Amino acid sequence: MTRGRTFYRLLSHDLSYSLAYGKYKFIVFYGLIALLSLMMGAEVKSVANGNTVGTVYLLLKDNGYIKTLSDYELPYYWDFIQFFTLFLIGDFLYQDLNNNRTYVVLRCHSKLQYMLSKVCWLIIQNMLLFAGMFIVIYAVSSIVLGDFSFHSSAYFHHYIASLMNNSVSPGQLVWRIFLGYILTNLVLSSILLLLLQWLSPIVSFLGVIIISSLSTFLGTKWLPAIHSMILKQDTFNREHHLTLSFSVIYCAVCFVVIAAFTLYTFRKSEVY
Amino acid sequence: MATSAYLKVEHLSKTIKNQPILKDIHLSLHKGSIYGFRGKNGSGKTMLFRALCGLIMPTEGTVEVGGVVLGKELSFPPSVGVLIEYPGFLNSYTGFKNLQMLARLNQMIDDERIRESIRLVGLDPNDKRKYRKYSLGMKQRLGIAQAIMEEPDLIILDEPTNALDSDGIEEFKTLLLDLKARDKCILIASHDKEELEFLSDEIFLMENGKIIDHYHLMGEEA
Repeated sequence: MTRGRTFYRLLSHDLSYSLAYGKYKFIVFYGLIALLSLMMGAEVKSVANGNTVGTVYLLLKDNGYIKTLSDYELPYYWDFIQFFTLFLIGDFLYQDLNNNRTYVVLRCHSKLQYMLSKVCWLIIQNMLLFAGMFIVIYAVSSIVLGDFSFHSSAYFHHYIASLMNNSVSPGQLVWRIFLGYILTNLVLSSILLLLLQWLSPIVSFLGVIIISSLSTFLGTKWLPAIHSMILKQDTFNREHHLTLSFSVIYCAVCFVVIAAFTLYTFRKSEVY
Repeated sequence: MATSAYLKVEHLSKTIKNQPILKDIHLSLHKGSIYGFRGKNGSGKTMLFRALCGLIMPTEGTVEVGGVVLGKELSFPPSVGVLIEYPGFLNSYTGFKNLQMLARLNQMIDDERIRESIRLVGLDPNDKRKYRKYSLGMKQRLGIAQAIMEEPDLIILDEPTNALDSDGIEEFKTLLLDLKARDKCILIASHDKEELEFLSDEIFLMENGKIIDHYHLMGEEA
């Protein structure tokens, strides 16, 4: 059996197993996203003519930089999406590491390929998860608003573009928001995968949630979650110089380094 | 026995966080035999099985399976089936579909062989019930089926008769004797002395990570 084939089979196993294992949780997640899209769509509709761009912005934006802690407001929706997506990913990772590892590793004869498959699964799963989220938001809000386009609506013009420092098109804004979420989740879920090797699932999850939450009141661009905060990026805030290209490069480097360390430690680890 | 041992363990010791878990274990196990391991909880049976599978590396000593030293030429035994705790079967899948999912990882067997393995453990391969509807005994049987389905040379079963009813235990005994006749090297751990003595060619008694006694059956003390 060649390594390529083994890896392909492992990755296929991970994708199909995770889907079957988490399907009801995915349904709940997308159901809640649909509900929130409905609420946000109605909010957009109540103030101006808008489309999906307004709903995406309202639902996925953060609260921006704060100067003093007294200005702090919890970004509920941002937190909800971060925590739920990390839970969906971590839930499968824990189940697989805890219950499947022995049986899968002994069949593929390679710990390295087993973990490499998990790393690639993280990339694919994150993209699928947020692509699904985009489709749900688009479908629900387009129906609510009666507009299936991504053009510059009155809502975008009055409530979004007016806050921008660097003007971007509605389509670019949606792309940046989703890309930011994918990048942040990739880094955070890779940290989760690393922690799950040594710590209990609850402690690992809490650790990642703390790392994520730090960005809601700290402005440092070296924390991973800030890259999913559109109001802290240079599109809306010029002071902090958080550009999309920096986010992409920084998160990619973080992911590669953490993944490499995870592969190294897993290869050395034992299955008790 | 005249033939060379299929599984050879020499001076195997394992220490985890300064705690000795396995102490100077020697084994010489052959194909076509069943070996029983008996001992209290925490005596080291499961850890020994994990070491024999290559899942943990010895602090000292070697494990050689089929002429290959684990951790040197290969990380894991070339042909092994195990049951160590319940596998993470999917609740929403049937027994057959769960085994099919595992079998796809190495693609050594076809669907008919999976069905045959399910039949061998006394389950119905066409049973449409989901795994969540299975009784504990049925779950255990399915776990045994996944361990034997690829017809491995080395079969390691940790407490395989847990949750099995008396009929299940009888069927299991028949299955194991059949596998033995097919030249498999079989290791089982159990608390049940009678069951082990019925099945095994040789029994090892473990305590505090050591093999404190072993005897061949027919009352022949080693």
